[in-house]
Amino acid sequence: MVFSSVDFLFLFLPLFLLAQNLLPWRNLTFVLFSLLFYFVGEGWYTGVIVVSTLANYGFGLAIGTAQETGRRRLLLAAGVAFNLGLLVVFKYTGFLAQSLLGVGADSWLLRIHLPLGISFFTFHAISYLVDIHRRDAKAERSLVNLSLYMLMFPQLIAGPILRFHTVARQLRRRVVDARHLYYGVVLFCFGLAQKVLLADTLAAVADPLFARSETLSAQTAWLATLCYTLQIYFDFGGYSNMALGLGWICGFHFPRNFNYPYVARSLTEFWRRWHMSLSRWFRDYLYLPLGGNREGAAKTYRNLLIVFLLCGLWHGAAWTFVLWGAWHGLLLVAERLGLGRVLARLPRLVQHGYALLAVMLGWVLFRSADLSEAGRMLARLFGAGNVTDMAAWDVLTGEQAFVLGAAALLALPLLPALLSRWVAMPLMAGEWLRTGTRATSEQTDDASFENRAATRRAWAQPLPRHRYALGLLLAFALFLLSLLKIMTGAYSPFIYFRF
Amino acid sequence: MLHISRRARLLACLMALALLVPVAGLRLHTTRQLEHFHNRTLNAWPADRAFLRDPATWFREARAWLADRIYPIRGIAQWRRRLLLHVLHTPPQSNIALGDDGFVFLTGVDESTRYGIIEGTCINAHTAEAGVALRRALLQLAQYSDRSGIAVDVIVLPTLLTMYPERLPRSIPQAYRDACAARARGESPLLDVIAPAGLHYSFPYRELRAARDDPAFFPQADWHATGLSVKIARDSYLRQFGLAPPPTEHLTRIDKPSEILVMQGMISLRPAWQVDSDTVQPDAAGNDAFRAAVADLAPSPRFITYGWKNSAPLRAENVLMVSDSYGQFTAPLYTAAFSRMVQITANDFKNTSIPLLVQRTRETHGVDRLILLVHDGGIYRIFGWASALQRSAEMPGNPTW
Repeated sequence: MVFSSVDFLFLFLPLFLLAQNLLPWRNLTFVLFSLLFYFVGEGWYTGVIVVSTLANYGFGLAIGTAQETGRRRLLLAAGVAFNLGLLVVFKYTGFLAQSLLGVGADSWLLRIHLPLGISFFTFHAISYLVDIHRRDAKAERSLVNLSLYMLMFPQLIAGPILRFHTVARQLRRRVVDARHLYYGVVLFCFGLAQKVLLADTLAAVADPLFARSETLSAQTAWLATLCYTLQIYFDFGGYSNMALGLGWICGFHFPRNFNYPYVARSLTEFWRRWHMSLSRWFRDYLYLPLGGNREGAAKTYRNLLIVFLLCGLWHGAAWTFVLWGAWHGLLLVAERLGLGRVLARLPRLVQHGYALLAVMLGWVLFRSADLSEAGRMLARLFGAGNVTDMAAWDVLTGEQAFVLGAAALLALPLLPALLSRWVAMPLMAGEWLRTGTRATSEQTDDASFENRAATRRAWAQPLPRHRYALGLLLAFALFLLSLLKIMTGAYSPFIYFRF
Repeated sequence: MLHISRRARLLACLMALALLVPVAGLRLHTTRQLEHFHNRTLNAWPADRAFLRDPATWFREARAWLADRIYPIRGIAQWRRRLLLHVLHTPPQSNIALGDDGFVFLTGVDESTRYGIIEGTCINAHTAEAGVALRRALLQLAQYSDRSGIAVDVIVLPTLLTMYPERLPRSIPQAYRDACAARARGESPLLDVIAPAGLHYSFPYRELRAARDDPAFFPQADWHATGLSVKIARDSYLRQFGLAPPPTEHLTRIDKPSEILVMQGMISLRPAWQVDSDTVQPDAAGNDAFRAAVADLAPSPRFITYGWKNSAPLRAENVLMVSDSYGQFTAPLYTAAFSRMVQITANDFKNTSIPLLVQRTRETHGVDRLILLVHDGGIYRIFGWASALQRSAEMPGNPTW
């Protein structure tokens, strides 16, 4: 079940909202609905996530109560090994068997089912255990609360990835008032529109073009890459916004996951703006434990490469993802080696061009089914093969051309900045801090990308009512437009679903 | 602990109730309406016993059941199509192409086969193999005609795709546009087929092409040939018998809704010619008797038939027309030459049912002539029907012949 399906929007979500608002034992209700959400999509494989939750509950208590450092470390190692073991068995067995043992395509090892969201809940579990080990958080004594952290349906299958210490307090106590509901509804509708109106429409351009990569001209190959570049942003970004919105409705303040990544001027900046919850997870639980940038340049570069190779592998069990990770890792190292300094002396437009080109070429690796398709597509991008194809403009319908233009515009922070003058925008600078709850470190991370002065201004001034009314009107209009596509069963792939 | 303010709780509950409306309204439309809207049988509710075996599949089927029936899916689809067509100049479905100057093409049967019709019509129907298969089919039909004593004619009508290939939008892949253009240049083995003795074969492509500059001729936003185009095709067929066009017909220039867009629930008027006859009338009783005689052969109870009678026939013959959907629109004009006609759209019929269908009709109506009529993309149906008819005629002890 995905958030943009009729069964979620018109059955699961309203029933959940009624239960959440009318029944007692709200965390338990939330957990049961989350289990149902998972069970609907995965059936008996729900057992995997249940076992994972129970095991991590046990590991957490054991680590939390252990006094000796050695024993704590041993228990942590066992817990992490258990979680990574689950991930390897379900996600990487086929890939490893094919790559290392050369098993045939008909082997049962290649048919092992990949449970939904296993990459996400595994990272949640590791975060939980490490945070307890580091004493950043206490072991959760309530199985219901831990289950909620692991299973919470808004972020269960596609994130954002929550580090345990940032939500531990909210698991125990949180508040929902009308303004939280407003933020939640508006964010959800914005995310829904990004996913359904933008990403799905662009997918209908990109998918057929990638499917016939051997017949593309340079022009249509660039169109395919551009459409996919925007599709993946609005697909995942939209889904993240829906998750954030659902979080607000339930009293959780998840960290923002995207911050206009395509305005970055380097890959280093791109990774501060793209899938920020994943970047933070890798930073806190892999890059820093490896030594980060504290042990000299060579080890910093090594650490970066390790992190990005694993980041690529986390996205999927295929060499295209490994290559994608390596591409990003190598460019990040190159930027540290001096490319960054060279870029800084160039005009801003060139810097933007470099970052966008690097990201788009990376997406070709990411999108391609295998290395040969990736190679073919990259060759087409640079005119190899001298193929004659239809003009890029002829590929697009009126709707697709309009959406491509709109998506390109909305990938920039121009329109939201303009809208925030009239509309109470949930994602405007500092809105996270306007909730009346103490800012978590993740929220502070967010704010670090934004104008802190603007944050303080926004916090100090209550917004006039008409700005909330306009926000609701806008959200309602976007919801209705999205419904036109959702109800008619228009093409709707979801890229991050199987990660 | 989650604390929800009273106002937030009230608003959330109201929102939840509003979101339940599409499910609560499931019963506000009927299965028939929905099947007409989806143009297919609706997804069924999954069997309870399948739940334990594979709950994920069970839920997937249940969700498909819900998605088919969600309220108000028909109204919403209508609004979306209007928005696409009128605001964004985008075809309301991916199997429809908007050409230049108001042309509308049907390129696929449904959205899953976006270019299926183009492929069938502009490529597969006109290969050298199709030409060979057609010659073989005509021979088989001639044998059948000889043994059964029923005259057999084969009529193939061109489609908008091959009549106006230059109007296909550039969004259609070049290979398809080239293929359709090649047909328009006369590169088709179907054009030069000579029918064996005793059988008439008509593919009036050149005659229709000569008249195509009239914007009301086909018409240009329809899937089916109607009006003037059918009259020209019919007149070409009659010339094979040495007959002139019936003098009792009148042509009237009208504006009629685009057939393809009407299927999408949108009215968009286009010029067309309407052909009225003073002598051809619907034959309800004949049609009812025909339906009753062949109902058990039909794969679905909603099979399509028509009956027509003519008070001033050029030839005193009873005709059975077995056709694809083109027959529904052409049968009245062809009836102008004969005494009576029953027409059946046999797209979904098994080929092996066709001999029995002819036999039953012969018993109830007395069939003098069998017309097999398809559009060019449906030429393969002729191959199947001919083969089945010939085999039935060769069967020893066949009660019919």
